[in-house]
Formats: sequence, structure tokens, C-alpha cells
Amino acid sequence: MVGTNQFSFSKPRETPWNLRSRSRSITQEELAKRPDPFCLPNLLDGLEDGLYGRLADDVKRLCKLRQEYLNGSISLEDIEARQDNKRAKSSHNLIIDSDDELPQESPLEKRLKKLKEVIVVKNGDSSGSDSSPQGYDEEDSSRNSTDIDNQSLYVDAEEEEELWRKMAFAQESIKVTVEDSQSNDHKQIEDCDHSFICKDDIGEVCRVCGLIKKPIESMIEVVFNKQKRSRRTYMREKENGETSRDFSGIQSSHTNILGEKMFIHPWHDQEMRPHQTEGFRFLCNNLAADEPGGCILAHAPGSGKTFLLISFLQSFMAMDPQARPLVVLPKGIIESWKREFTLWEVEKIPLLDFYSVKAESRKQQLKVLGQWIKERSILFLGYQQFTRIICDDNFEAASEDCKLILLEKPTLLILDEGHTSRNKETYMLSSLARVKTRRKVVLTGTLFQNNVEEVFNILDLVRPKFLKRPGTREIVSRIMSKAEIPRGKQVNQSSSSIEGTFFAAVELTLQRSTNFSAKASLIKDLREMTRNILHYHKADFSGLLPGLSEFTVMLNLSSIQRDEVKGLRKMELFKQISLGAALYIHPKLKSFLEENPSNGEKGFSDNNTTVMKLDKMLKKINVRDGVKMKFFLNLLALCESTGEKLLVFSQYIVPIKTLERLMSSMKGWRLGKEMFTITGDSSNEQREWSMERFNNSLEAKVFFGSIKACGEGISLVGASRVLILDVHLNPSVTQQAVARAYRPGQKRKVYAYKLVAADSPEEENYETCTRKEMMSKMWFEWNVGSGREDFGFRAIDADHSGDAFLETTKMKEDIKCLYTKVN
Amino acid sequence: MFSEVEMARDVAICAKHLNGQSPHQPILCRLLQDLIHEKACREHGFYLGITALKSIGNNKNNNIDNENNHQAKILTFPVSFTCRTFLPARGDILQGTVKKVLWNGAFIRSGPLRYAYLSLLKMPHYHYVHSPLSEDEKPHFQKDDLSKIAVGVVVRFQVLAVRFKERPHKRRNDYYVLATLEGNGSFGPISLTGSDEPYM
Repeated sequence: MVGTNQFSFSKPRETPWNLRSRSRSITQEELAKRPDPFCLPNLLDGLEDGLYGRLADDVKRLCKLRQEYLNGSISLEDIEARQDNKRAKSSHNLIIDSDDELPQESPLEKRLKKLKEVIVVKNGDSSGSDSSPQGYDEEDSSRNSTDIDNQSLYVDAEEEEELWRKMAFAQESIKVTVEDSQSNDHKQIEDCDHSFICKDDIGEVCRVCGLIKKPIESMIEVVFNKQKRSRRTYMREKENGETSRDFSGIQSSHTNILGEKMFIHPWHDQEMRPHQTEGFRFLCNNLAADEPGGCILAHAPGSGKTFLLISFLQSFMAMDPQARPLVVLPKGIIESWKREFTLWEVEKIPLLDFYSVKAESRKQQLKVLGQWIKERSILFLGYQQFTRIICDDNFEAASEDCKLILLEKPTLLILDEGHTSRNKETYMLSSLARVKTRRKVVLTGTLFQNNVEEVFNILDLVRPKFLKRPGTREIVSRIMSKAEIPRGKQVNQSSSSIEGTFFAAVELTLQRSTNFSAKASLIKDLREMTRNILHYHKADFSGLLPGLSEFTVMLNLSSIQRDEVKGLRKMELFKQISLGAALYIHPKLKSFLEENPSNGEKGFSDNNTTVMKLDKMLKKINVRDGVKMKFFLNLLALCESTGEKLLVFSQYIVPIKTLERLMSSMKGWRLGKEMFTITGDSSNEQREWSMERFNNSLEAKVFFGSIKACGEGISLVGASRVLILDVHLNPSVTQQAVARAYRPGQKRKVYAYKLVAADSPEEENYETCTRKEMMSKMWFEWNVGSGREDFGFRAIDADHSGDAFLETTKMKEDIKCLYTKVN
Repeated sequence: MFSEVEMARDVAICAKHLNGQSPHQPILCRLLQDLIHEKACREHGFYLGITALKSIGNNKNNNIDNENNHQAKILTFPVSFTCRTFLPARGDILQGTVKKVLWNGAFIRSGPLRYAYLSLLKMPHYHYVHSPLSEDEKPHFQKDDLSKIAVGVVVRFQVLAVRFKERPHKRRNDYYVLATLEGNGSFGPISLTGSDEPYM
């Protein structure tokens, strides 16, 4: 772009050289009144505003073409030849955006005509220069009014800040499409032999045109010191000591202690919510009765199951000096339990586990177990560790002793996140079933996971041979007589076959039956069957938390993605799911995964070669080809404008790592400062630190989580937007992920977006997922008395979703349809 | 406010572009391009145009900086010139064309100022009119006397607050402005023939 053709001097001045005399022509004066489509300021403004939408690449190519012509490297005939080629190409690829600012006729052809006009004029008269419009100076001075009244402009500082925030959100809203990841593209328009030098405050920058090759942030590695976490200990009050003595008095006066009623400690009692008090009574009726038996505490995530059990444990241990509770739970949340136990401690009870003392061999573990037996204390154990000890084939004495102690000695077995042990195929369920005590408690926020049989597997765990018990067997017969028996299944005398038929019949009736009364009757029977041993509580935060909106967003795939889906359908199922998850984010990511298959043994983030390849791939990427990547970038830009934080969950590591590297290259963000990641490889210290810093730091913007690694037990209430990148076959896992943000401590309204690729295998998986969720809702939450049977998801219009983000133009661009939950 | 300031800066240019001619024209081209790309500075505001060229100095000696001999030869000339600038200030009264109407405000463009945000809170007695049924009528703000703020309407407004937005990566600085119609009765849509876009 030759600048002198655009700017001219209204008066000739003395200069070291002689200014060429201007030759006026009619054609030039007419041209001066028309806007030059290639005027650089207008062009740069248009590119920044996203005015050209999908045509931005075409506009850049045209500018480059014109620049080459002006530099004399090509002639007019070459331009005409290229025009024919481009016109042929554009007839296939040209898509008119819905943006009303673009003219109705083909913008590309219109600009080509203007380009030709300008070139012809310049070809004829190369010495001409435009004169500025007359009267421009006078017009400028008339705007500058001298009547300034500063008193009328007093504005509160907070109000002004609020107006700036509204402006930032409005700016993001009017953008037509996603920002291109190659943000320095328009600088390539210039013809420059770059000469890069290193400047301290900018980075590697060209001395001539100012192009930044490598920003300074990516050249210097800054290591942030981890914040020291201080462990607080709570002083015991005298009042607690006195009450503790009362418990001892009761203890010494009765020999049959467990027959007595247990009491909630007064300090805990005033903190408990009504459903927790009910839960305490429920636990007493099952665990402290003359004939104790197991039970299930199915309270919703975030409703205080841990506090309830801690209170019960302390009452239980105060009554029984021989008490030896064993708590089996996911390894990652042992620290949370310990911390909360210390918080609600009434009297000093030792909390033992293998991990804090690094007991790895069987002898070391046997030492910890010996301590547990000798002293009244509580033992914490991970599920995997427990299963490994019980299923140990080693016949060492230490190994056998460990196994024997774990099976014989517990007087109370607590299974936190008890749905972990629902699968009959695994050793975990059979190992837990072998524990001798009958006092087994399963804690779970999501009891129904995949199918009906898994619920009954857990019921069998807490009450062995549940379906054959006297009261239950009659209900089973009643259900079998009413329910529709699936075809192909015939009742024979084999007991396992009868159970299988029962499960299938229940599933079929709940899922497909159109008979309303049959469904209602079945649900009543199921609830009657489990009434005494299952305590269900649905979370109701409507009075406590600001609110929750959950959206399922069906996204139209880009054309490249749609082509790839055809090849995807022929693959084997699990490969289809994992490669599909990469494809729906971006087609290049699927190619990347095929070229670099991830080894199961080695962690992805440890492989520096793969990360470098990923970074190289991300530089050449076209963000518009990947519809989920595009959604993520738009959502993140909107979150940034309103000052909200974003949670991103995925089942797989590669999408998380990809988006992380993309943010690093696009915005210069760093892990541990603006971005945080928790995967299965993350250590416990890393998890705690990431969680705390993400919630409290003002600089934190986005949190990437593997949905399995941080689906339970951690709190991310700093975020108010949750993005779930792929469809998990288990709807409870997704529900748990949303509950990381929607839980006590949240101060904003939470919006959850579940992305589904439309017209793809993922949509079919999503339908399976929805069906499971409906069955769980019917079983536990449906009010059978009322005739209302509209469960499910309601389709809504993107214009009236109630979410200001989804209503913006660039978010609606790819949405095929939108669903929200009916409450 | 508008002002004319004297500025001096170094202009770097590739040696191969000079071709033995007089170096003044390429230097001026480079200077103008740099000003267009930079667009604004914090001290003076938007660059509107060069009004006078004071001096072009001699080439500085850059051979010491060229540690690598393979680098292209770079010439640096100190240039002194006067430039007309426009710095938006709190209390200024401007006229601009409405570019975009949203439910909570409007964006006004006034010369080089591309983002003047007029919030609904600062439009007294105006309300948002939007009919989803009829697609012909576009959303706009309207007062009881039927005066209208819509896309394309020229509005006189007062500057409420100014913010300088520096973009180190894209190297295009910009000013953002909050606008208000409160106070003076002369604020609001006005009749104006033609457009306020300055053609160059």
C-alpha cells in the first residue's frame, strides 16, 4: 500500500526535494469522492471488527494481489488470469454470512471490479495524487465546543466501571465469528524483508514493520512459587470435654451398649439440616439395631453426606470401645475427609491410612493395620488398594495377615462414592462383599449409573441375597406378574436367569412402556422394596444457591468434519468414541491422534516431543473447521468480557491438552496462572493447589479437568460456566461434573453447556445417555401421585434461551438446536 | 480535542527498496504506513494526518547492531514532522453515526473513534423498541416524541469517560469512549446531510 497516494498535502512547502506537479484529470476527481475499498485504515478496521466474516481470508488474498501489482512484480494480464481462477474457486466456496452489513450481491466480485478500476486508473496516470476533501478542517473545528460543563458529568466510579463492563460484553456480542488464531495475518500484507531483533519489552520484533515474531512472554519462563498451605488445628472446648465425659458415663453403666439409642451431639445437631437429621436416624435404625444390617445413603452431591457420617461415626465410637470403622473411598478425597473430620471432631480419634505414612509393602501395611486394631481408630483406604490386598495371590504371612484383618476386623464399613463398586464384573464388588461385618454403609450421590442391575448389585452388597429375602421375594413376584417380560426370555428354574429376567423386565417397563399405570405401580413397588434400607435425598439449592441453567447444545459440524464422520462410522466402538471426540473438536486433532497414538503407560504431558508436534499443528490450524473448538473460543471470549471463569471437562487427555496449548499460543496464558489442569496424573498437592488458586486468584480464567479425575470430591465454585466437551455414556458422571461448580459456596448463577455433535455417532450416544437419566429420575424423584409425566428435555429457541451468551450472534452461528431440562 | 504536535521518530527501511533513487519518498511511505498501523498513542491521541515535514536526517550507523552478517541491510533515518492529532477527552461534545444497536446500548462511530458506547442508562427517556414479529423494522431506541436512535442516525453526544487500549500483539492501539446524552438539551439525534466519513 503506497501511502502517498492516500495522504497529500494541502499546501506545498519547502522540502529538500521538489514535489512533482500534480496533473488534474476528470477521472481522478471523480475517484477522489468514492471510498477506496483497499484504503488501509478501513481495511484494518474491518478485519479487526470481523466485518468480513468468512470472507476475511479472501480479502487478505486480494490485498496481497494488489500489493504485488503495485510493486511491479506482476502485470495486469497476470491479474486477469488469476481473477478467472479465483472466480471459479469462489463460486464453489463462497458463503454469504447472515451479517446484514455485507451487500447483497457477491462481495468478492464487487471488490474485484473496484480493484480493476483502480488499477486501470493508476496504469493510465502514475503521477497523480488525490487531494483531501474541501472543508475538512472547518468541519473539524466546529466539533470542538468550548461550552464544557464538567459538573454535569459527575459519575460514580462504580457506575463508570459497570458501564465499561457492559461495553466489553457488548463488543464481544457484536462480533460475527470466532477470532482467527493467526492474529498477525494482516501484517503479512506488507512487503518487507524482515529483520528481527530482540527487544526487552516486546520480544523478537522486526525493526522495519514491527511484526512480532515471538512475544516476550513466551521467551521468558516464569515460575510461580507454590503457596504454602498452613494446617490449622482446632482447639477443643471445655464444653466438649464435659459432654465427652457424659458419653463415658453411659458407657460404663451398660453392657449391651449397641441396643441403646444413639444421640446426635448437640454441637452437630444445630448444624444439621433436616435431611441430615433424618439420615442420622436412618443410620441408627440400620446399624445400631439388635440385628444390624447395611443401608444406602443416596443423598445428592453437595448435600453434606460427609458431615452426616462424621457425626454418626463419633457417636458410634463413643458408644462402642471395640469400634473399628473402615472407610473405603476414592484415594483422591482422603485428605478432604480427614480435614473435615478434624473440623467436626468431638474427641480425639486417630485417623489412619497407608498413604500419609507411605506404607507400600505388605509388612508396612500390616504395621498400620496392627495399630488400627490395638487402638480405637478409623482406617481410610482407597478402593484400588483394598481390592489389591484382598485379591493378592501372594501367600506370604504378611499378605495373609493383611487380608484377614481387613475381612474380619472392621465393625463398620463405609463406602464413600459407593457407586464405584457397582460392576459385578470387577473384583472390587466381590472383595467388598467378603467383608464379614453386616454394618455396611454405601454413600453415593448418584446411585443409578448405567442400568437397573447395578443398583441391585449395590443392594446385594449391603444386604446379601437381597432379592431372596422374605419381604422382598413377594414384591419381586408381584412385579414379575405385572411387568412385560422381554421377548425371547423364558422363565425357568435357574435363579440367575430369574434375576436377569427381573432386571430386564424392570428396565423395559421403565424405559419403553407406554402404560402409565404399569410404570407407576412398578415404581411404587421398587420404592416399597427399598424403603427401609435406602434413604434418598434430592438436592434442593433453590433457596441457597443463585441458580442453575443446563443446556444441551447440538452443534452443526463443519463440512470437513462431516466428511470425516462417514469414515468414523465404520470403526470399532471405543475407537469411534475416542477418535470422534477428537474429530468433533477439530479434524486436524483426529489426524494428529492417528499419527501419534498415545501410549497408555506414558503420560501425555510428559512426552515433550508430542507436545511440540501439537504446538506445531496448532499454528497452522484453521479454527473455523472445528465446531467445538470454535464454541470454546467464543465462550471463553465472552467469559473474559464479563469477568467469569470457565470450567472445561473432557473424558480424554488430548482434547484438554490441545485447548491448553491453543490458549497458550493465542493469548499467551500460562499453566498455573491463567490456566489450570487436573488429570489422573495430577498429584494430591497439585490438585489442592490448583483448586485453591483457581477459586481465589483474580487472574485465573479457565480450568481444564479430566472428568474422571476431578468429577468427585473437589470444589470449583470460582467458576460459573461449565463446558462439557464430549458425551459420557454415564449421565451421572456429567452430573457430578456440573456439581463441581453448583454447590455450596457458589455466588453466581451457574450455566452448564453440554456439547453434542449433531448428525454423528455422538448424537446416538447422547440419546442413550438421556434414556438412562430418565430412568433414574423416574425411580427416585417422580411424584407418582400427580399425573404429570413430562420428563425429559425441552427444545428451546436460541433467541429465548435466557442465557445472554447463547443469544449472541457468533454463538448461534453453529447451533442446530438447544435443549434444557424440565424441572 | 484536536491539536497539532511536532513529533520525531526513527524510520527503518530495507536497503534494497531504495534502488538508488532519492530516498525521501520511500521513507515517507514507510512513515505513513507506520502511523496507520499504530493509529493512536497514549499521549496525543489518534493520528489524523501529517501537516508538515520538518526534516529527514542522515542514515544512522547500524552496522554494530547487525551481529549476523546474513541479516538484510537496514537503514534508519530520523524524521521530524508535525502531525494533527485528535485526543478524546472527558466533556468533549462530538457527533457520530450509530453503527450497531443492542438491547442495552448502541455503538457510535465518530471519525477515527470506532467504539463510543452509549448505554441505555445514559439515554434518558429512551426505551428499546424491538418487534420480533416484523422482520422489516430493525431494533432501535425511541423517545416519546418519536425521535429515534437507529443504525445510520447521526447523534450528538458528550464524552463521559475515555480509555486507551494498547494492544502489544496486534500493534493497533485504540481509544474507547463512554458516551452520554444526559445534561444538555441539544444532545441526541440530529439531521445531517451526507456522511461524516472523511475520504482521503
